[in-house]
Amino acid sequence: MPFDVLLAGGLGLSILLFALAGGADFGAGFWSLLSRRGERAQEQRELIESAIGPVWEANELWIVVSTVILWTAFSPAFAAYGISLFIPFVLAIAGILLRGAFLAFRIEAGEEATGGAYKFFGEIFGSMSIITPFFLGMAAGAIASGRLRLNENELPADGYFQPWLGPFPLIVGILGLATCAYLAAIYLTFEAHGNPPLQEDFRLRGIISGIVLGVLGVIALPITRSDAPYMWNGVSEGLGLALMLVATLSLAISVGLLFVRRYWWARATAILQVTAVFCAWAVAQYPYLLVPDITIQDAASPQPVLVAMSILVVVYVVVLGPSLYFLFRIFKTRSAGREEEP
Amino acid sequence: MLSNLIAARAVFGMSLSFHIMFAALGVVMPFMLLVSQYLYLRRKNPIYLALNKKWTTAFAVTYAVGAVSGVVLTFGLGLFWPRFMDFAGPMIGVPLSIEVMFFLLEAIFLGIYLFGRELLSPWVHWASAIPLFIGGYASMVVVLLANSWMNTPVGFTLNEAGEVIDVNVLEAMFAPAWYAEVSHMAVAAFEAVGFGFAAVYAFGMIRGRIDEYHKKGFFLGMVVVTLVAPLMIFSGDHTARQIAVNEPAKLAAIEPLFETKEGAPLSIGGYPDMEAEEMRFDIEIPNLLSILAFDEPNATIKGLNEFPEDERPDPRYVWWAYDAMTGIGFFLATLIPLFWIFYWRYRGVPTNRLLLSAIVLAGFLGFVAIELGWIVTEGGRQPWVAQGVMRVEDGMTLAPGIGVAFFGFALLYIFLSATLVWLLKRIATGAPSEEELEGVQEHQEELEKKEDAYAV
Repeated sequence: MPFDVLLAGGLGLSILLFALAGGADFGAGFWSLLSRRGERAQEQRELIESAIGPVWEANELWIVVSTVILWTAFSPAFAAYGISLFIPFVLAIAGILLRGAFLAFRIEAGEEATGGAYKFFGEIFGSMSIITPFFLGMAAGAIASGRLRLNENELPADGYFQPWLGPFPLIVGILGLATCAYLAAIYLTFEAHGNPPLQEDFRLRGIISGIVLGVLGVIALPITRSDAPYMWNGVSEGLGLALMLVATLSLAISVGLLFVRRYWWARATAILQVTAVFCAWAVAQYPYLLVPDITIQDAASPQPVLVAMSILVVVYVVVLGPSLYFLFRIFKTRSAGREEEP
Repeated sequence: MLSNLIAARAVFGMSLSFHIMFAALGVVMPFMLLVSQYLYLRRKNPIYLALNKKWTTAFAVTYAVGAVSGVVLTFGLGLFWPRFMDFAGPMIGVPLSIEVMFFLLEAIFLGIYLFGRELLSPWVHWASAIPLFIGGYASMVVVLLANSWMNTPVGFTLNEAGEVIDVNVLEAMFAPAWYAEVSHMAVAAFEAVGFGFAAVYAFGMIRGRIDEYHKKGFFLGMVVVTLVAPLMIFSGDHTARQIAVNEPAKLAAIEPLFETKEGAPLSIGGYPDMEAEEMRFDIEIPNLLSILAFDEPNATIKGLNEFPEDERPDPRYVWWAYDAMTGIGFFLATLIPLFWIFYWRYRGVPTNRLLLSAIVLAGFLGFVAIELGWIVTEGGRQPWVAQGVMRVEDGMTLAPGIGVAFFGFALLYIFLSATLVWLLKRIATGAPSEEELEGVQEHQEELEKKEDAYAV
């Protein structure tokens, strides 16, 4: 059995889950930063905190899962990322550190108790939420674009800035942020069930960010073609192209559904859109972990480690699946059905 | 500017010494939550509920800082030590991957415990702290498995180029040092955090807040340390033996013992004169080191001279940390019988200011001892990152600008610590008033009545 390919699939899945769950939390931070004017600004921020408060730590840990799969099963690729993309990754983790800590501080400080500090904690939480998806997106762009080449010592041949400071990584960073914001707005329409004005606020934000995401996607096309030729080949033919078409269609439908206030379906199609883009990316990048120098097979650890890691992934699912189900059942089904209670 | 090696070591040393305190809290605080809530549910004394709620709030902020600094460390291994991870990933990756699973389990159930008080029936809410405790405790165990591999690396085959070609996953996971490290850290965490809890309430009592709330909080902390402190004697002894057998260079450095000796003495205090290669102004207890290490008064203990000069750990990094750690251990151990003597004399929780002050000091020193122990185990392994296999400088990143990252992270941790301390001080509002307690209890009783309204 090709354990290396299976584990690469597990790696991809954990990154996708991070994008869908953790990404939306970062997006919510972005909206929290923007909620400063208007009569409902306070309510909007409170909704955001109550929505992500119980789940953000669990959501964030998907990125840690992908990190450990990478370093256990594909350690040379992990080393190459760590060295060459040191700067964007350090900025991304600084964002993770500050955003999480200050969200928790803000929730536990409580507004009445610590007025000024509450506001200050919120500013840090919001601004740091932007940094992480942007720089993680840039790093992903650098990995897929082929801009990052290694020399014979496995060091970046063109220095530590050139690989990620370029048009394709930049547009992927922006797309990453826009995707997070779009997902967050749609999830929040759901969270705001039972408070129509608040729901309308996030519906509008969802529509705007969906349109922005579409426009950015169009801008990304020529950039991909010139700056990330390998990706371009992958997404412009066969399965990659089909997935991109599914994604485009889902985005359009999802914005349309928001317009007609079908929130459950809008959320489902938004998740489908992100998943389809992600799968198209994965298809285009396969079999490389670093285009074009490191493949999955090149980087794979010895067989016993791959077997152990595959078993562990199954254990992850068995242990964490029911726990996550429990978590989301307690906090998420109730938030959706709150008004049905007596 | 700092050299990149020093900067990378400084960033990581700083991050770990920051994280290790929150890791200890993350292991023991869920236990304290379980105990206090159990006492409330059984005895219906609202004081326990008030303590439980306060501890939950404090845990929420300390856990968040622990979790995010843990995420930083996960990434940091790749960012600062990519060549070490490239080499060691297949061996230590498995325990670290298991760690992530328990970390996730802890995070999930923290969310449930923190926000589920009103949504879950009281006993289900209590039970949700069990996986929280298991997650924290097991995370600590598996992280130490990875660290023990660094101290005593086994379970892999290298080819001529020094690349790992085969791995025995289980052998690598349970390296010789694992049991000593795990048991020592587990006991240390309970002892430090137990004294930490007692210290918070002892401090309140010194400032005149002598009430049932402070007495109960103080007493719970003292019970925990009383249960674990005797284990520390065995664990410390076992750890020293393990080091003597598997990490002789470390033993020689912490003692320090420059020349190999039969019937080696235990030296206390003094300082290592590196020029003359001997200890000065120390107190020597004849043959004790040989007895402690091998149960044999005349056993031979390897000195630093047995190791090539460029492979010797520098005793100046570790000898003082080891002495201070054991000194603190003995200080903490003597406080416990003292506390119980006072308890017996006063027929209840003692409020003697001297004893309380000593326990406040102990609450601080317990954490210091954890840091010192970590300095001993890491410093005593130098210059290796994996004992005998890879030197620290061969494991580090080749990316430039690590010095800048060091200053950045230093500022960040200072900022975070300052905010955390400020916030915890605000959270520590003292005992709730009678009315508040009654209100809390009424609310809780209402919650218990509406059984059918719970999600679970």
